[in-house]
Amino acid sequence: MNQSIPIRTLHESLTEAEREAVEAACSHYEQRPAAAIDALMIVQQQRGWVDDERLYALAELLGMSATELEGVATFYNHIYRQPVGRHVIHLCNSISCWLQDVGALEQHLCERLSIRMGQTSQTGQITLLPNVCLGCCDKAPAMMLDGELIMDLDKDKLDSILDKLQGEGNG
Amino acid sequence: MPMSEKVQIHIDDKSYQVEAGQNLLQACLSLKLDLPYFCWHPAMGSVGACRQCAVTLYKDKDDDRGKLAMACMTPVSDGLRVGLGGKQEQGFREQNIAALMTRHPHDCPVCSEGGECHLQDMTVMTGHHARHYQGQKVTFNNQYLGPLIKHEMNRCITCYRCVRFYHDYAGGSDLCAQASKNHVYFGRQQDGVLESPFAGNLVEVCPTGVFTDKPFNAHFSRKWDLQSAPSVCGHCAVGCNTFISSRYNSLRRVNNRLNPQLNGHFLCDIGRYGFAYANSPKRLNEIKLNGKPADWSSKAVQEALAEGNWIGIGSAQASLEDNFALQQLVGEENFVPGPEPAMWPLMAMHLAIAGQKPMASLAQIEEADAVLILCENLNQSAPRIALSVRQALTNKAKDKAEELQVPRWQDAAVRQLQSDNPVPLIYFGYGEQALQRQACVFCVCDDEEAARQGFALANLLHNRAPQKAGTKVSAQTHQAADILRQAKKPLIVSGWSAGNPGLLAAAANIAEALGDKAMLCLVADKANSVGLGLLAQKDQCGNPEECLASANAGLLVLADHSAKSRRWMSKITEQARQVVHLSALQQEGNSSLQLPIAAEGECSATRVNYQGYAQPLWPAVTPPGQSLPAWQWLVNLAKTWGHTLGQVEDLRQLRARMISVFPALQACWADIDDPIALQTPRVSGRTAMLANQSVHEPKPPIETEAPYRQSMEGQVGKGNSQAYSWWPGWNSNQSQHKFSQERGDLSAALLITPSGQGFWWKWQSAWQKINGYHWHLLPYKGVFGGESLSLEAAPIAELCPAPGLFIRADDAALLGLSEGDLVCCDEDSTLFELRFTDGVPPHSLLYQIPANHGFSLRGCELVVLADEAQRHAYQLARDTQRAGQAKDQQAKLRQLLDQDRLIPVRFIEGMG
Ligand code: SF4
Ligand code: SF4
Ligand code: FES
Ligand code: FES
Repeated sequence: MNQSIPIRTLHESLTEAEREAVEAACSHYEQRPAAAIDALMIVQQQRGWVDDERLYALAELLGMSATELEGVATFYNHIYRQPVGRHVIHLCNSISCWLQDVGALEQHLCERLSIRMGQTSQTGQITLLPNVCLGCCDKAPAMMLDGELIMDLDKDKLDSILDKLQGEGNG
Repeated sequence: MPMSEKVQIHIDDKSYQVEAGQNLLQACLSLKLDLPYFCWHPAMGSVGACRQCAVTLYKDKDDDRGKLAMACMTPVSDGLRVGLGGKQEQGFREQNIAALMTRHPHDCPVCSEGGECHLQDMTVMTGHHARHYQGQKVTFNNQYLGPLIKHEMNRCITCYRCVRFYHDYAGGSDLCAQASKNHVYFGRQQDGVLESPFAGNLVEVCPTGVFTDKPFNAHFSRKWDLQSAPSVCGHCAVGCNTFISSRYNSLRRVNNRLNPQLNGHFLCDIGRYGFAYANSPKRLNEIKLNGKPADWSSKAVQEALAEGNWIGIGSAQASLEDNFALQQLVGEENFVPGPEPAMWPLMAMHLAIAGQKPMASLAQIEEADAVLILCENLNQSAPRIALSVRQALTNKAKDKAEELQVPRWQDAAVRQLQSDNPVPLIYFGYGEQALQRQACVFCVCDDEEAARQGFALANLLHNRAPQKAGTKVSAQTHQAADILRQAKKPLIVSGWSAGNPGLLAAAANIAEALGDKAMLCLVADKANSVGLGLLAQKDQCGNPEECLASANAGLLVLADHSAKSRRWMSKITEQARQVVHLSALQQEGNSSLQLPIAAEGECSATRVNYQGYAQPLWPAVTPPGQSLPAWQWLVNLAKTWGHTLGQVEDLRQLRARMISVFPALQACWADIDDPIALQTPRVSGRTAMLANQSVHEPKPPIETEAPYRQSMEGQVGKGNSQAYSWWPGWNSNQSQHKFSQERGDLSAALLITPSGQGFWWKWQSAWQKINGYHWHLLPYKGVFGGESLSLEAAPIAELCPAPGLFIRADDAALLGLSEGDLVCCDEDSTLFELRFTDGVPPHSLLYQIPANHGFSLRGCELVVLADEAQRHAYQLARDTQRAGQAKDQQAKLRQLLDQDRLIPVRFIEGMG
């Protein structure tokens, strides 16, 4: 019995559809907590990120403690526990990309967006996050944009992507 | 693999015989070889997380390259060739520490772990003594984790021991590893009090200063300055072994003392923090007559104590010595075994059963492959046993692992296997704490029903077991019978907490029915309940009720601090001629004379645990003010009466008399020839500590019977005789692994020899409760607040929950009540917070109330919602109480701190 979490959160915090989707995910596993990642992603797809209230509600729904679920949520860098921009860039910072001078690209990105790694641009358009090896070292440097892998990056490629993203924001 | 089997291994070309079945790290440490490690723990096994215990393994004699391996993950096997001190493995270990230290703040001087830090020890051991790292360090925010534990996350080396203990071993769900890579964080989802009653072990489990002892930090001393003594916890009947430590004659902290049969490496938080009642503002330091300070030799005091008709009331919170002296002084026929009549039949039943069957130790409990708990609130009555039962639940997973050729100590593998290989836990009773929630069979019922089903269960298992006529055998009872029949080592647990001797009888019958394979564990009420019972069992003892009825008697009372005994005392003191309390804490009301007695850690004493083991405890300080051991007051009194007890000159002589009654006690106090120092060899200020009182170095206090000296004189204790845990190069408590082979013969004496004779208990009508109320009120205790002495320790008092009334949600709905409502029972003035649980039998309510708070209803007709005025008064009273407690405690702390500061400094004129 976790007294710090009020009982009503479960029902008020999640939509009917979210709850159903989480239940469906649970049915695929022997134990409910095993559906933790799916459940977090379900909420994130709806809302862009997972806030505390949703975290508590999901924990209760999954029969685990908020701390346990937080451990899962913070372990994966594609689960966001803070608000992110409309687009999220995960720039690889592991060895192959580093050898291919991803550092210069990072600097370029940060300058163009006037942010540092881990921040969201002023307009709320783009969030920049680091990521460990994206699994395409042969096509380094690489990044992921809204879940889509972009390889063989260079400054020009990056610029054209940013132009597009920023253009849509103003248009 | 049987543990006694030996294999030969070669370490740095020397051959050793070691026990098979263990891992190489364990083997090296048992051989007293130094091999640094972090994540391995003897009770929690190996996970290979820290990479610190690297050694080189060689294929054979000719292999000159070998390969690095983690010793903790390598099973020892015959002919294994190991490099321990070679360049390769040493270099790796040094660099591993170097890497760990890149995120460590090097803040030893302000870290309370300093001086007993495993990280410091290991860093020195690997030879890593220069700092090369130039980069930035990660820093973290610390969390508020409650009054027991301080959090300082920057010091973490990510060994994962904390979560492996807290979450995996102890079942706490509110501390987990968070984030990943260089940001890994060990904490809660948000600030808040750690929920597990075993949180205090984090202090010892964490090899660095991330989790430290908060009350100790508030009145701190380095380990090397502490004067420590081997002691035994006085807060429940388990009798966990502890070290109790002091500085400037005030008690500072308690930590674990390894006893492989009982507590192993862990204590509960009541045991770790409860000792602080000795530093409570309510401490009695002087003789008080009618509330005013008085002199022993004064006429008034002597008159109050004049020879005459005296009844002695023993206490299960007092030592065997104290109770024995009291019984000698008043005579066996005038000795009452404690101020709670409800305990007497339980006491008699416990002793009768223990006289037939041995009681399982905690180590044996951890071997069980099926567990039945018969209405015992283990989580409160013996938290450490609850933790052992929890470990038993991993046994089938361990067996499975072995079947798959994975050693039992491979913790991660075993945890993976646990959900598919459960050890069945059967629970008859009520409540909803950790263990109940893990039960695979849970029969929600009251104590009487549990006892009846217990009788029925014994009868299902063995047709000669007596049944109570008319019992409807529940489905769960049939399930339980099937499970227990199949088990190889079933464990039956019950105890006194529900107050029904029928439960003990039922548990004994079930064990009898199961035959030799069964283990039995009955949990007694208090630390020395069994010792008190042994004294009361003697032939000459009168019937307590009769001897109390004798008119115009004076009462000599060894204090018992629970509200229940206070209630009973106030009844019988009305007709008493005189009431004398021997107490460590001030008594409210009904006592005309109070004699201050030594508390935990202040005098030598002996207590008898639930199994009947007498265990000695030794003092780390001298008693404050006018306090004396209670037996000493009684001897002094005997002198004025010209009673033979007055011939006792010292503890040795008193104990000689005790041995003539209980010969087994001899073993318990076996002499250690050379005295052992309670201070470390590097303690500071030895000659200056009392310089404000005298420039002559005072003679250290000597306990006649104790092999220990409250000074630096004497040896550093080894193995069982240790006064604190230490080994050259190993300043932290990890040094105890150096003695893991020598722990067999702890000084304890079994005072009850089980006859082994079979016996069937018959149902007694006294076990039935007639209850005509609409709601049956059942007592239910929480860990914090359930034990009276520890409630006087500030950090425990802070954790004590408000009185609570547990009800089923559907019952509450019928009454129109919601969770959190403030309610009372009929006209009774006690207000409870309403809580919901499924663990309540029909027509019943569970009430949870602090042990020092009186409440005596057995049932009620109505649950009444408090009105606005009551709610307001309640809140006000609670706030005032909290604030008062905090203020008193602050004042007491300031006084203790001042005392420390003044001691060395005031001697210089103008200072202090
Ligand atoms: S907090 Fe302590 S026990 Fe936990 S991982 Fe860090 S160093 Fe290890
Ligand atoms: S289990 Fe009992 S004896 Fe052990 S530490 Fe806790 S209160 Fe003390
Ligand atoms: S290192 Fe960047 S993709 Fe592998
Ligand atoms: S102790 Fe062996 S890897 Fe940690």
